[in-house]
Amino acid sequence: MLQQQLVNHLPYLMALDKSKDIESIGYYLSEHLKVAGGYWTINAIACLNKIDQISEEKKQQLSKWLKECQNQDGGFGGNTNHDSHITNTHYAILLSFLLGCELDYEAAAKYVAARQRKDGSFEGDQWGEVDARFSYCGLSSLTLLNKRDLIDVKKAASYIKKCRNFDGSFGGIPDAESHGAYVFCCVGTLYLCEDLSFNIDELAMWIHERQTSKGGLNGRPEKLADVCYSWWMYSALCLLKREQWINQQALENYILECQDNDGGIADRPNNQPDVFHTFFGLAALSLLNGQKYQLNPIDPAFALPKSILINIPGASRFIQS
Amino acid sequence: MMHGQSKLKAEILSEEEIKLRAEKGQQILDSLDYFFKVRKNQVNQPEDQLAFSELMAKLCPEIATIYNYRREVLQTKFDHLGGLLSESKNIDIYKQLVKLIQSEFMLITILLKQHPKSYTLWTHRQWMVLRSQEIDQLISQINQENQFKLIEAIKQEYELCSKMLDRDERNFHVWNYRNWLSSISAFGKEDEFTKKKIEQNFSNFSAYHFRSKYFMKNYNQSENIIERIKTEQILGLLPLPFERLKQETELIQQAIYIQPKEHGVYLYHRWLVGVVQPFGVTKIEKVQNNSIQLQFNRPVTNVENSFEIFNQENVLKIINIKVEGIRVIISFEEQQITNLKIKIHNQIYENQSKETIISEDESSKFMVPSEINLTKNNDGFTYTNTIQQEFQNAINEIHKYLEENIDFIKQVIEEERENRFPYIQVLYLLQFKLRTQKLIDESKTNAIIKEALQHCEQLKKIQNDHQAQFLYEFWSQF
Repeated sequence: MLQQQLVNHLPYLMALDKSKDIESIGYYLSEHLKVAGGYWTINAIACLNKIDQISEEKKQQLSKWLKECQNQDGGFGGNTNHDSHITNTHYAILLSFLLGCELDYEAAAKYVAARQRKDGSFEGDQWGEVDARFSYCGLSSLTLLNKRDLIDVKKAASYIKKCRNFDGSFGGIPDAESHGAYVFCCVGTLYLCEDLSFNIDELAMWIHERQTSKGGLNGRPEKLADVCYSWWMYSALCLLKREQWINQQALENYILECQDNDGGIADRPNNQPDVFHTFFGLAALSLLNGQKYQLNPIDPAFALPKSILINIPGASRFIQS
Repeated sequence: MMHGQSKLKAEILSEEEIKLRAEKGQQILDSLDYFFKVRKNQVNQPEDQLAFSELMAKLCPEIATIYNYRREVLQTKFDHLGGLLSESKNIDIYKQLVKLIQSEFMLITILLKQHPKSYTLWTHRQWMVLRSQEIDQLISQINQENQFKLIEAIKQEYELCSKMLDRDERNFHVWNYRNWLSSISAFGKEDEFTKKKIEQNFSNFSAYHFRSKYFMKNYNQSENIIERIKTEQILGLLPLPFERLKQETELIQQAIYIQPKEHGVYLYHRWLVGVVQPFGVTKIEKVQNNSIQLQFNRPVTNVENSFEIFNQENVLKIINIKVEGIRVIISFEEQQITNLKIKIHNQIYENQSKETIISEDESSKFMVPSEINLTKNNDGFTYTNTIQQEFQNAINEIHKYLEENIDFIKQVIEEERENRFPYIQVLYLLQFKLRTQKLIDESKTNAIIKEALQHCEQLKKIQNDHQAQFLYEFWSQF
């Protein structure tokens, strides 16, 4: 029964792009998330092995729009006219690989590399916010573009190590509390820096403790489970080769419970679905039991389908078998 | 993306309502359209750029570009007014500047009420604090007659953090912001504040987390660390006097007692007890004419500068140091070995480190200093390992402290027979005991291992998951 529901996600995803959802103010207020939204939507469709359902015309349209999101400084904004930011630059690069279009990668790489600070951290933009999310965007983007030589990879890793906490897990900046989503950013960054020299078992133990009685994972002690943590932390466990440290079947069941009958996946059972949780739910399922659900496996380091990554030279040595 | 949106029951909107929503949506898009034209100077700048960007921020609080624009406008005004103030020392200019800053803080506070977890808003606020500090510096420079009061925004920022943490005690944006304020000022009473939050709710893991950071930050404040080791018995990562550490342990024991089914309290307890456990040499395993292999009581890293070797009182040049878990192999120039002396140094205390935070990788730099005297003979070698006296006493105190905590957890086990957490906890504490015991008397370690395996069996009966298996595998290796 639940397995059949996966099929419903395709029409849900395909419809996201159609004329504005006039019943939701949320649509208008998420205008700045269009590049990210594009990535989540197309990636989810790719995960369902249905990327051929998107017409060539549509792909061209999206590609044209995506190119217009690139600014003079080489970075990308969340939509046309928006100021550049490392996160949107990263999303744009990922989306371009999904669409099979080319961007000015040279300029994008320069923008991303310029975001690294002397202490190895990465800022989001010229306004100076620093966060492990940006380190991950930096390492991932430049690895995919084969431009790692533009940054100090060693320093990037040493900054992330400062984000480790007494409980063995990672926060977003040094001193920040350990958090499931930042586990993805930090482990992903360290993996791409080829430096996993920290106490992995301690982290795996912390992740193990995030599994709630309903099978879902929460982000921190005493918090509610959320489907997106299935991806953030299970992908990290895959990179660390500790997948069996959580109850995989229970997590799988939880994700299936979060599906909406009309399509899409929500953060928790019976909540409103959205494209973000739909993508992360499917991506996590592709790692947990891709074959059973006929899902295209999403690589745990790059969050792109492996089928696309194998054609990206910069990525090859990092792809998980 | 939206979190926590419960599914609306099939909302049947009237045509009128649909029309209104579409109009509102279109208004937002039209406003944004105009905003971007302004941003790119494709149209004239509005007369009041601040009022305009305020409208936009209230309409679309999540759009970072709007705040980027606003900051550019604000910076221009700060520069302009700042320059005027420097020249004229005019009170009206001063008042304008202060008003500008205070109303910006007020605007952000209003927006934060609706969006307390917005990275965009907290980044903007942080930027404002830095600008207001710069302006305070400017004011100080022209304030010879003390005619101008400094803005001192940071004090009110702590107020904001307190209020917001009262509403949501786990909001990490607020905790991080507060932590940042404390890093640039001396006002935060982190010890008091985190303790207050814990006493309000023993489940507040964020408070324990920041408490752990607070305790880790005081290295450069100890002027005479060697004296403090002797008198206050400090050993290991936590630069707290032992008495203070024991007080803190009582606090967390209370929390465990009140909330024994909660995972976070055990983590903090485990860290407190574990963080002072010592690193030291337990054995010399091999001696050759060009190398020596040492065994430590626990895995070490970053110990390359911890050793000095002498042969017949002559300093030996160390060629290489290889670290493999609990083993360290030191290679030196090949020669006839008769009497070796190996000095084990505590890199942090002996170098009177200026570091304020030691990373977890470097924790084994807190080595127990000792001197090994080794004699090679026909049958092999004999050696003595003499731990520096101050540290010898400290190790015994730590061992006692550890035993007390193991007894405490065993009491919790008695009360909570079906709760796996105290079992997991005692297994970790027994690991610490095993390591410390190896430094005191290797012969007594078997009893510890036996006891641990019994607890492993109990744990497997309660919940035989990966954690239970992992702990069982650790204890089975001996």
